[in-house]
Amino acid sequence: MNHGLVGKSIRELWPATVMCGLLAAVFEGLVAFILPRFQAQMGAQILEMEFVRRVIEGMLGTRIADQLGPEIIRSIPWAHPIMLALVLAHAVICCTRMPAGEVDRGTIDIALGLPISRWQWMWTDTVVWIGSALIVIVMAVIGNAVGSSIVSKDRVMGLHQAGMIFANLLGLYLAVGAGAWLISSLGNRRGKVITTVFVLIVASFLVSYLEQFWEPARYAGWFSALSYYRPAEVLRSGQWPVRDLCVLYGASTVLWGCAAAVFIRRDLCTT
Amino acid sequence: MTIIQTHQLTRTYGRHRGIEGLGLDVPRGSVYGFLGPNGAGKTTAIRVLLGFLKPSQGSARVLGRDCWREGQTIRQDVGYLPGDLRLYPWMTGESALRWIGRVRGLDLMPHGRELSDEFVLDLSRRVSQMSRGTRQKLGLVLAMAHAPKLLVLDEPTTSLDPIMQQRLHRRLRAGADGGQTVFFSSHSLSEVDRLCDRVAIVREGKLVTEQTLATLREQAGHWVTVRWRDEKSVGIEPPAFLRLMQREGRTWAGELDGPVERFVSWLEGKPIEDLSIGPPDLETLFHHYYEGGGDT
Repeated sequence: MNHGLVGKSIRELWPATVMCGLLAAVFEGLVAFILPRFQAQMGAQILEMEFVRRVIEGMLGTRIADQLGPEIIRSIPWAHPIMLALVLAHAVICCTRMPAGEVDRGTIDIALGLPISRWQWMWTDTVVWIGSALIVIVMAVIGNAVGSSIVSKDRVMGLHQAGMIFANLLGLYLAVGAGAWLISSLGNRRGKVITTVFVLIVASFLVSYLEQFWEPARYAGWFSALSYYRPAEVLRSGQWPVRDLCVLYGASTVLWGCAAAVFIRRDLCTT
Repeated sequence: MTIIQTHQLTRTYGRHRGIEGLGLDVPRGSVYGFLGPNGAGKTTAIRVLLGFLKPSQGSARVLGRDCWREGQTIRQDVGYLPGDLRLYPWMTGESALRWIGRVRGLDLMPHGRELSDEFVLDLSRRVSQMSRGTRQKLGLVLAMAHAPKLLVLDEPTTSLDPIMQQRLHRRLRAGADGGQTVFFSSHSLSEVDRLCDRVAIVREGKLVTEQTLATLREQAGHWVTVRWRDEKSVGIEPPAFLRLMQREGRTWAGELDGPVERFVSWLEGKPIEDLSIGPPDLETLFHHYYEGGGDT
């Protein structure tokens, strides 16, 4: 790894990492603190409404019974759209910087004029990206633990549960990030790349919700991110989601590999 | 020794015109002018030489290495100033020097400071607060700070004031005298005339001519003005090597083709009152090439 490139990547990523990490921590803490107070009320009233129940099922990626058990309540902060938006926004910010962001900003000529290989650049940026992803998700886990511990020490997730959620969320994060990187490798305008990724993410989440109400949408279920990120199921079963993790990490590896292949071979310069 | 060598180098991309069959030989220690009007393909050629773009056909070698496959090694010994220079806005001059130094694995601060003093550049300012000219000066400092074997400068004097242009020329000349090679892309004819040893002229992606400046000067016509002593002499038939542009009263003015001596011999014994012969008119020659009059 090139130290100069590491320094540059860290300098460019730390503001987004600190901001997304802090917001995720605060959100996790608040929701973990507030939600248990409404557990009984939610079970009794909200779930009686079929539509609301299905929306919650779409969000959690699993069927819920008539009662919202403690595991379901505990999983809501992890599947909440705000939490996912914060974490995935970080992935999109990080993974569209290079090369689309560099070409768009016009700095690619200066960077490529230096004695670094494209592979070296890709590899260095990936290491810094994954490092920053770990920071954001760890901050969210810490926020959740702090919020839960205020309610009751028993509500804090154990290491095993936290590990499973962490691995599942990181898998989702990496898959979205690697996809964004591939689109970035193909593009020259960061705005267009971000828009494309955003549309794909929204479409993917939309499929999860549509599946609950519209039978044909189930055929597109494989495209739904929430089919592979199911914190409620993970917490309820206590089993590692091996299939989901394989899909997410496998997709991340393939997408990242394609992004690297495109980036290394393509023509690059300010347009 | 040849520092840059291209053979039948062709690059087309998208809707933009690229370069076609470009053959260049840039000798070590020369200041090599790469001239052409806007859109002639100068920047495309430079991007191929630096490994940003893959050649469609032909070969390009810099410092004896293949530009596309061995770009990283080549760039170790190359300093590059892009034509449309954009720097990271959060950097200061000093942090940019430190960053590039870390990437190159060198301490660039001592030489960088020396260069910034020469170009009157405040290294503590942020790039985002710099004027275009100041950013250009920083770009030059960053390109030259590691004393590369080859300097590739794409229209470097754009937005530099005349004093800075002069200092840059002096610095480049000194570098070339010390064995550094300068590949100097420009569309300023007078600048290339002042600075370069050799010049390649490209038009519409193709090489029009590649010569030493001395040869070009020999080819360039001289502007001649002759004032005859009497009205009778005005009727004299001009020689074939003088293209008359003006014929007013007793005065002839026109462009001389070939050596001055021939014209002076022709004038011998003729009744002239006054004669002026200007320096070789490179500008006219360049325009001739630019506008499609030269060989392709």
